[in-house]
Amino acid sequence: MDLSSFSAHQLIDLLDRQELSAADCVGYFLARTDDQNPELNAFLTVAHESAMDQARSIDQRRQRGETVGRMAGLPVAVKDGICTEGIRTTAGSRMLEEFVPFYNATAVQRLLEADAILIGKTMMDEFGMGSSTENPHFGNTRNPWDPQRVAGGSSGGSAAAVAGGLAPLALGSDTGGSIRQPAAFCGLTGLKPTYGRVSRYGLIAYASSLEQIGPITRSAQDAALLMEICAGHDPSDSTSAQRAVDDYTHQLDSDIQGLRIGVCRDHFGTGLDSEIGVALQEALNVLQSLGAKLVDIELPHASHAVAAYYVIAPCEASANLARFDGVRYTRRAESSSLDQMYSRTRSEFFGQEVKRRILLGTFALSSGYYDQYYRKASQIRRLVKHDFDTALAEVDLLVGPTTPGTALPIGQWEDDPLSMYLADVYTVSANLAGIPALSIPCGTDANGLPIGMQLQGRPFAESTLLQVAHQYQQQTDFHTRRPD
Amino acid sequence: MSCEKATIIGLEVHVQLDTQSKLFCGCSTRFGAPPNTHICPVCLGAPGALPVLNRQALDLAIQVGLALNCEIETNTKWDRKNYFYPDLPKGYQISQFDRPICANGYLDLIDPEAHFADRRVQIERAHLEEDAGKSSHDETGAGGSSKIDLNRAGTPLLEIVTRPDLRSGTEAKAFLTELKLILSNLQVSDCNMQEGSLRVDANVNLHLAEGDRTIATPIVEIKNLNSFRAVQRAIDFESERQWKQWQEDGRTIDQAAKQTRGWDDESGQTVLQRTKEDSADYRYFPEPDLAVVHTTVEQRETIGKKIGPLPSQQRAELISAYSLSAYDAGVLVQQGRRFVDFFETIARPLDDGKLVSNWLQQEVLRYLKEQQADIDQFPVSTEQFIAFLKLIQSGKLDTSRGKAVMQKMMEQRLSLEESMEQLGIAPVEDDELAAICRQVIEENPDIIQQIREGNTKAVGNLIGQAKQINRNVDPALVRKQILNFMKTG
Amino acid sequence: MNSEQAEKVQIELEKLLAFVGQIDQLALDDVDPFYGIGSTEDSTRTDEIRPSCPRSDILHNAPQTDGEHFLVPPVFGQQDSRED
Repeated sequence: MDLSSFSAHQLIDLLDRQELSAADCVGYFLARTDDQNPELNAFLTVAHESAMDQARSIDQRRQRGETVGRMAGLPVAVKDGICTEGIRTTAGSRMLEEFVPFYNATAVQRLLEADAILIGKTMMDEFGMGSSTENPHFGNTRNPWDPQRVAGGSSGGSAAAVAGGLAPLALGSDTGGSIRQPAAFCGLTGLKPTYGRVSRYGLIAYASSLEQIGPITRSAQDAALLMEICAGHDPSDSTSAQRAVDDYTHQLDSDIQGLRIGVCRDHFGTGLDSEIGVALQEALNVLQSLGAKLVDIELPHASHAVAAYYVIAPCEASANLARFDGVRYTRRAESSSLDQMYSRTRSEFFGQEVKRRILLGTFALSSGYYDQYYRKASQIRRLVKHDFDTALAEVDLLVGPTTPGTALPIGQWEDDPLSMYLADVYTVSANLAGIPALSIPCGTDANGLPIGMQLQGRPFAESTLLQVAHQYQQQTDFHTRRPD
Repeated sequence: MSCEKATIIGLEVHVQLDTQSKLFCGCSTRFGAPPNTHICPVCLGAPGALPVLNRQALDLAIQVGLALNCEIETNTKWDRKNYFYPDLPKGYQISQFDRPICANGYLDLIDPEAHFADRRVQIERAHLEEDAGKSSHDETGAGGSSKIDLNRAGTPLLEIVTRPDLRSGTEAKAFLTELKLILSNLQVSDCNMQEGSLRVDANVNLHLAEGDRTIATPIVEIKNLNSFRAVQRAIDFESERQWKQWQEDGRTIDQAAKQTRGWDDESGQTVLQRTKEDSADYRYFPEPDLAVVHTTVEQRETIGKKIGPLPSQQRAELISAYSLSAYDAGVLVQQGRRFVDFFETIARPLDDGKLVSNWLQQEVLRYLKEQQADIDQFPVSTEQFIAFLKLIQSGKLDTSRGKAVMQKMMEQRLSLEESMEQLGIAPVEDDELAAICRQVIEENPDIIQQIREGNTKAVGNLIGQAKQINRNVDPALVRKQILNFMKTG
Repeated sequence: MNSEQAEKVQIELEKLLAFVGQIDQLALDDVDPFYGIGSTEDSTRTDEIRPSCPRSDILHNAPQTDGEHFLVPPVFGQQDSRED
């Protein structure tokens, strides 16, 4: 069987019916990873032994007739910025090259409790700071649709692993588009949940008030499953919401007749690749044919969102990354005084982009500049949120592009951080406002590269986004297309 | 140069709040555990770990705030204070910047001995923050590694900041003494300076009035203050030092940077540590990992009910209800709330506050001091103490023999009866006393005559004879009885 | 960082600051800043001790320990410290 093109649901069916053993399933994906990862560089660490041990134990439990979890035997790839007990977790940084956590992120713990199998840790931009998974320490992740192109970022390894068939589904994290953009570049479904929906405990923080862990999958249906496992209140994360998790799977099958979809026409103008505009228009036609009503809406402050984001995120990062100091769990550069320990460790083991953002954040928070940068950016954040509140009072969700273009050639953004930042134009607003946002494939460009469509919804209305995406995927086959 | 000179002092007091677990995680706050054994991912500052607020720490902070007449912030929030130090695990400290839990309070200082005028010290703010760990440096001078123990990291601290309202080392010490008493009574902290549960920094400068203008000298922050006495001495030293410095260089607050100086207890001097130029910019910003904490009026009221009478109220109560002097009331209240309870339990039935106060201040306090014990460990029960003082009050036991009895009760933990029996003391009943007095009067007509002629000292002889008949008689009562009989009889 | 790198970073930062600095043009005086966390739920915990982690776990990833403490270089450097 060619398991590499199976969705998680299809694999779970086979596993549950014991037509496929967990050991065979995991063995298959590990072998495929061994074969293809040297080219794709999707995984930073492959957990061969622990994954096989876990798989055999699940098979034994099944044979003994014991109850097993909902994802029993299903391999999952996890972004390397998410802590995994006993498995090296680097966040893509030389700084944490040898760091082995003695605790699991809550999302990982929940996967393990559902008997999912952790097959490895995926590549990422260092600490999530980037949009291309071109990593100065561990190399570039390649896009399975075209190995000369980037897989997107920062969860590029998770996207490449799923698109390349090395894993049926994966966890990523999204601070400004880091799930949705690689999902778009790799033809996958990627969801950034509402802020507080999934526990951040164990997610190595880049910008705490913006980021969420979320699924990167082949279908909305698989994303719904992963959300049902991982979402929910966690007493270890004070910012995690206490409200109950919806039954996302159950709601997938409801029709979207009469649903009001907001379209911000500004997002279809200058700056958007025309092929993407055409694909989106066709997608909107499909949604309309399913009974949805299109409504024009305005997001007047969206044009300032990227600038506000690139103040807030670096400010938080400058504090979040201060703990990497050479004392407790990072590497330490050779040093004979305390000052040397700090300066050499941080200069040797952080990459260029990380240093850039730390400097930017440190400057923006410094005495005399706080009001001009951080406070102002937080005020814009309020306005961006207000834009969404207003629009989403009129409509049930918003539909637009995920990215201004399709996957770029590797090296395109080297030494041009500003262009890279500007490519986040459609995704950062959802992080600023804390609302859920989903990307699904809706076409391909002339180069055969996938195009992503973004759905943004009301806080905690993941069910609506997944439902619309699922209904769309029932009518289209973009999500089932695989790279050659 | 002639001018009026005032020493202007503000204090920053760090109080370790007495919670079971740390401010943002469940690790124990117990002092003295082996290094790095009270640690979890949160207080290690491990990647991905997140803080969760200990509600009790907030409640204790609110208690202190209410006791210091503060406004309690309805929506208090958290901020990150950024600086690098190896014992600061996250590279920032979670603290409170612009919306501290307590603000705008005051504490009134009244000195019954009038060393200083009554003074209201404004409390600018009191905010919660997490403590750092502990670094031990190589003391040999060989430049060896420093050792980091993070057990203390994350322990809840309340930082209480006064306005610059204090004017002398004596006042600063009095403020700290009163503050410590309030905190101990509230049982929010053990206030142990040696273990670091109470730490004080003092900001000191001079205001010099020349004619109608006032000149301020540069502010100095004094650190390393290990006792209240050190605070007093350091401030007095600094006041003199700044005066001399100003006479030398005439530099004012605008012309010189703020200094941090360390107090050296041995040499009795402050020593320059650093100037403001190289001090940190903390780059405060809102802590994104913690939500704003909302406190309702009901929550504040519930906490307010736990506070009980404050020392100032207790002093006033002792003065009015037991007719104690301000000095005596001060001494009793200073011993803490349970000592005052002990006093009141005894003084109420005896209706003689002064008598009880004297015995407590002399015998009981001396004993507790010797034993380094507190009133909860005092071996004599209030019932026994009441019975004992009733004998004193009625004269059936004289003061000097009474002290011997109390000695036995305290040190050998004997009952009142056992102590008296061991000392061979039996109370002399009124009939027997009368009989003894009549006997000595009858047997000594010439001495009676001397007394009648005005030689009152001669009664001493009769008292001596009475004591030979029964050594338990109270000399004062014998004298009174004899003189009485002579008048009537 | 050598001076060439420093200059490059300086230029880059100035560009980025000019970009993000565009927000300073906006008149937002009456807008209440939003910090991303609007939870009104009580997210505090009760004061209960939970087991700490074994010291071996705590020290496991550290670059230098004595088995009990984390070790760091002295504040003022070792006597043989080279010039930085």
